[in-house]
Amino acid sequence: MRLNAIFLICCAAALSGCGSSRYHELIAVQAAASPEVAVAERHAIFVATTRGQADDASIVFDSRRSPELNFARVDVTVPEGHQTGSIERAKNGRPGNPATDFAARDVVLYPSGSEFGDAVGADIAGRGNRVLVFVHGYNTGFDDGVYRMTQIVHDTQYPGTPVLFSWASAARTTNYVYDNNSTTAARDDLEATLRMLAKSPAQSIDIIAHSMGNWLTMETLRQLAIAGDRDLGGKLGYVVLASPDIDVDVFKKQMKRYGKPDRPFAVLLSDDDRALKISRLIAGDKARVGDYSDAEDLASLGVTVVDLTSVKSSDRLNHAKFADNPFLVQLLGDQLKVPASLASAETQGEQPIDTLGKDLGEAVGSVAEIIVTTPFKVLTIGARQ
Amino acid sequence: MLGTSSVQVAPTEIAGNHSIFVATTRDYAKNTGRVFDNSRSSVLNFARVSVTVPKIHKTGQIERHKPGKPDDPLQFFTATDVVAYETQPEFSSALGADIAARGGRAMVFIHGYNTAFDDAVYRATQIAHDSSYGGTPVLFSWASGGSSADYVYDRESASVARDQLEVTLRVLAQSGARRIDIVAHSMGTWVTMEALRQLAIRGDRDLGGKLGDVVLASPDIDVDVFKSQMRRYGKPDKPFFLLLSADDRALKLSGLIAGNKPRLGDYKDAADLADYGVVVVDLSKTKGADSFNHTKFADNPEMVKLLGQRLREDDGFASDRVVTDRINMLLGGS
Repeated sequence: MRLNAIFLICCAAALSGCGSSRYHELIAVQAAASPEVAVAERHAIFVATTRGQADDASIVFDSRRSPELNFARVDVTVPEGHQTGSIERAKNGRPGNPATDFAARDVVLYPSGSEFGDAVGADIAGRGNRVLVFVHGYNTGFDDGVYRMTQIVHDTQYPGTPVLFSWASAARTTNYVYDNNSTTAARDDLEATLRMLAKSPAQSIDIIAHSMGNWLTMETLRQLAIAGDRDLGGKLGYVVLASPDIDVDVFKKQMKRYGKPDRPFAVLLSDDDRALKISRLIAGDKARVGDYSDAEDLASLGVTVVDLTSVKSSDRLNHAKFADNPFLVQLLGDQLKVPASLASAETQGEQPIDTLGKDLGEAVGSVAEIIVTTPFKVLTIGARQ
Repeated sequence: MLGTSSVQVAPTEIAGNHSIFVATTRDYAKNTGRVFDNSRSSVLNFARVSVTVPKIHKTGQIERHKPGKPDDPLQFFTATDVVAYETQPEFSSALGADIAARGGRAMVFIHGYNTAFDDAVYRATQIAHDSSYGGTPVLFSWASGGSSADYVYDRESASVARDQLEVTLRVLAQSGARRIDIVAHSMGTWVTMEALRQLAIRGDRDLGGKLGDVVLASPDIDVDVFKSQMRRYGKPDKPFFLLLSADDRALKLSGLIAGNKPRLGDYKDAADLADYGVVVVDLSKTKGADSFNHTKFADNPEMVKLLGQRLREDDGFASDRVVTDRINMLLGGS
């Protein structure tokens, strides 16, 4: 009866070619004191997660869903030889060697939300009252999410506090629907996390979501809007939706319920996103937002569309370009440097033009043909030499 | 759905003639006989469909004519008339008049996965007919692809329809209904739980006190998602009814797609769910007419009558035990 869907999901697994029996050891539990080695930088990643604690302490959190939100901080070092856009990882999902790999050096588990709130609040106060929440995508282990967030804050040189929201992805390509349900079950927890951050000293809360993490993020923003607090008391900063794995009709409805944002959301799309093409297959050939070609249609809802098709990615699925293209991730960092509320708001008529999406698009345009759609006009920016 | 030639039938030759009010997120079909098709409309559409039930009708069955054969109201469920309402106010006033004439009660039926518009209309008719429901039957029809290969398409269509189900419930609350019952089936329970959840977030979770029974039959919702929905909704004043069946093959397949996690309708731990303010009715021992055992609540003759009895009772809480006792008697033969 549903064999077609099952068949497609199996195809997705085959096409994306990820092994499903990877280890996800984040940290060596009984490591001999590792020799001091020179590292590029050490980052403290704060974590709110709906994953259950793993029986194997080295994995920290696994793919099971926890009824409660769990809190942690993971300190990760970036090796000196790090290449912008890459995540240097040990083979087979083993803990990294700090000399050559991204390596988790320390994990702190907070027994309660209030202790986590205190710790993250203190960190935010020391970092310019800014916080960046990263919501990872489909098929992502806890370790994958931690390393990706580390790479993003490192390569963008984000000045504020990084907070990873890690939902219970099974980290298996065959579990598309499991992952989807895990995101749905996590909505109230992401809302609680954002509300907690809004009560911290943070003045600006930026959000980057990737792939299926966009469904979770949009759902959470939507329910904040239904509750009458769509911009977190004015603290919501940049919202960057990278390769959103959301049905186009669902996304439009979410945006309608949210209402036109005061500052447009930046949607990063790529026509050659193979992961989204697969998920489109699973969804019965309806377009996903991330591989939608009608940017003007989306722009009318208050989003700025940045088309990354012409940008190269090191991942052959072209699904994580925003983070793994060295040029792009640094551009993103340039755009994130100034808090959203202070970013020079160009105006056209009476309405401010979003600077993040537009500037990002213009900057990308300096190396490639690119189309940027603002809510007000379509810009075609040719290659500049 | 509608025959091409007009149908004349004497009232004495049929068992019933039902007016089904329809709010739908489907688009109008190019073929007007089908009325609405599987594509998603950007606006909510409204209609009323009149359906006759033949005298030979057996409780629990939907007697449908074969494709290509002429309509025969003496033998088959037959849609005899469709009225499309251009605007929501027109729909509201027609609906309000019907509700007022039927004791101020309305029942909203939200169909499941893999259900075309005609399937949904006939099912709503069969439930209204076999349960001898006295109030106004309202069908909320979301854009199901009507094909079993479209599982994810259907899920997305269901998500798209959440705000419009909320609108429909609000329209009902404003159309003079004093009590609104909800019967949802399969994937329709996802739309329903989402609409109730967002009503709760807005602070109107019981529609101003008008929400009556909520019956969730074979809910095709991940158990963890359902629990998170109920936590956000809060313990309902009147428990929701969950009709489950351990031999529900459709849900077993959907569990397979979802990575072997149980679907709510196929869940064993009823006591665990009871904490959330739901009454679990286990239908494992009743027989279903369809080989998937996914529609027992409506196609088992005894069940649909009990459902009707439950829905006819006007006071909510006091009689819960009576009905669940009856169901248990039916199931256990004690």
